Amino acid sequence: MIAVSGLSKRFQKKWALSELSVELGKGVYGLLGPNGSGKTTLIRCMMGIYRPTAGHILLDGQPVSRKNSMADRAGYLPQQFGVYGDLRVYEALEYIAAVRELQVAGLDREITRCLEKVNLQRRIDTKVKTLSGGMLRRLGVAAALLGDPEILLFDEPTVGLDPEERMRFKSIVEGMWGKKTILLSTHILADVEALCDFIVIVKEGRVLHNLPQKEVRHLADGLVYETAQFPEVGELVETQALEGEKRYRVLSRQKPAGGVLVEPRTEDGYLCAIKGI
Amino acid sequence: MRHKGDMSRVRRRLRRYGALLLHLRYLILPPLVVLMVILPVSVQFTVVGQGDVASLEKACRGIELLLPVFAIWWPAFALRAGIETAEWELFRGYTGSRGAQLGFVLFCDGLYLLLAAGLYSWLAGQFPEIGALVWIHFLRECLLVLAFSGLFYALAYGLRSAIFSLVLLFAYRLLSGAIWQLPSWLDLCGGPAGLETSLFTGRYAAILALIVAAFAQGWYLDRHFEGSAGRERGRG
Repeated sequence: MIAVSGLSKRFQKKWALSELSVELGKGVYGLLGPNGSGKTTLIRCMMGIYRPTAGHILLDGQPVSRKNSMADRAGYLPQQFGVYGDLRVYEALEYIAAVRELQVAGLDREITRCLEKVNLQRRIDTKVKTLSGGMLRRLGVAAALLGDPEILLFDEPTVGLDPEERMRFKSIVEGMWGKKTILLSTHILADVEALCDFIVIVKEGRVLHNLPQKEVRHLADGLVYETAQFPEVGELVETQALEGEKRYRVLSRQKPAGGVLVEPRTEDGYLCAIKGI
Repeated sequence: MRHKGDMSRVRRRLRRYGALLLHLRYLILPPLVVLMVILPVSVQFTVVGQGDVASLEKACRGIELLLPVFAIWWPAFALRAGIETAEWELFRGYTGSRGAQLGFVLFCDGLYLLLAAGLYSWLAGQFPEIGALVWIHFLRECLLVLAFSGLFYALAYGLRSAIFSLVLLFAYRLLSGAIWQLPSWLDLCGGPAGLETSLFTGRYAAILALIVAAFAQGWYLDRHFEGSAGRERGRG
């Protein structure tokens, strides 16, 4: 169990996190928020890359420290994954295993397992600098999976992946369902809907909601309308052209002209939270 | 697979240090070439065989030209990943919370001085009558190695660039001939013209204080390091 309590982080005059609190148990959590909302900063604080200005991060009830380190128990995929370009794929994972101070016994088997998970087993002798962006991202996922850690922190894991690779990533996460604490930071709602048990919505360094995924849509209950006329009120979220007729989907506290109340989707709930509707 | 396995934490830590060094590949070679080829060969060709104090002094001056400053080569290229490349975030994520990189810098110094001790053993064999002077000079070099390493450690995290700090210290060493015209306290490798017979002097006390201060400052900056020049800060 990870418990973040009153976490604040300031960069010069800007507060990236402001008394943020959240609890993460077993399951897949989607950390969702607009750019600059503090998602990356939160993960970096959890990994000890940033020192919090205030607040605590507890791991199984104990403050994160050198003796109770997140790095000992977590696999981490940063937003920008990089490793020496001259290394071959296998050597890169060997190197990362050493940097992570993982146990050596069975390392060869473990590297093979992780490469198979991300479908890079045939690239074992390829130099890292010749990998495509998507392959490099998959190598980053393999590096995070090394040692089968109980916590996985993925910062924008599907950026740069093609649809097939994204499906593979989803199946990797689904394969670990219920066994680990997995935090996915992203702004791609489709990934969160497909994978996550819980959605943590952050804005301006604060957690607005930490809800089961299925409940997020209820944040927009009674607020989602569809209309054939361009809406004069509310927040336009979608425009569809159906058989020559335009349909507008709008989030609003007031009923727009010609509007019909419709069932909210997860995206509507998220937008209502972010826009404060 | 669990982190807390049979292998002790210390062994895993040493394995990490070893991996950081071995993954330098050809960049691991320059200090080895200096210690095992350039210095022995140049000493052999110029002075050894005469066995007197003057030739030992000449040998020691030659060694001092390269030995202390090359101690920063390995830490510079290994820590570069965690300071100024795209790898920094992964590197810091897995190592930052385990404490600063002080241990790695000292590990490199220890390894380097072990190899340097081999060079000095050979040198002491060439000067059996005055072997004690050789070992006193070795101790002096140990202090200078630590001083250069400490300065590198503080500069690398202070300037947020391991390679720029390496270049600065190499330039300083190269220009120290010119600095010799200035007060001797400005030149770490300056000091008395002859060989030292004791290191219990004010000069070496000052160097020791510099070592402690530089490593303490480096450790503090390392612990508070949050990415290069702020370009990564506060994203997302």
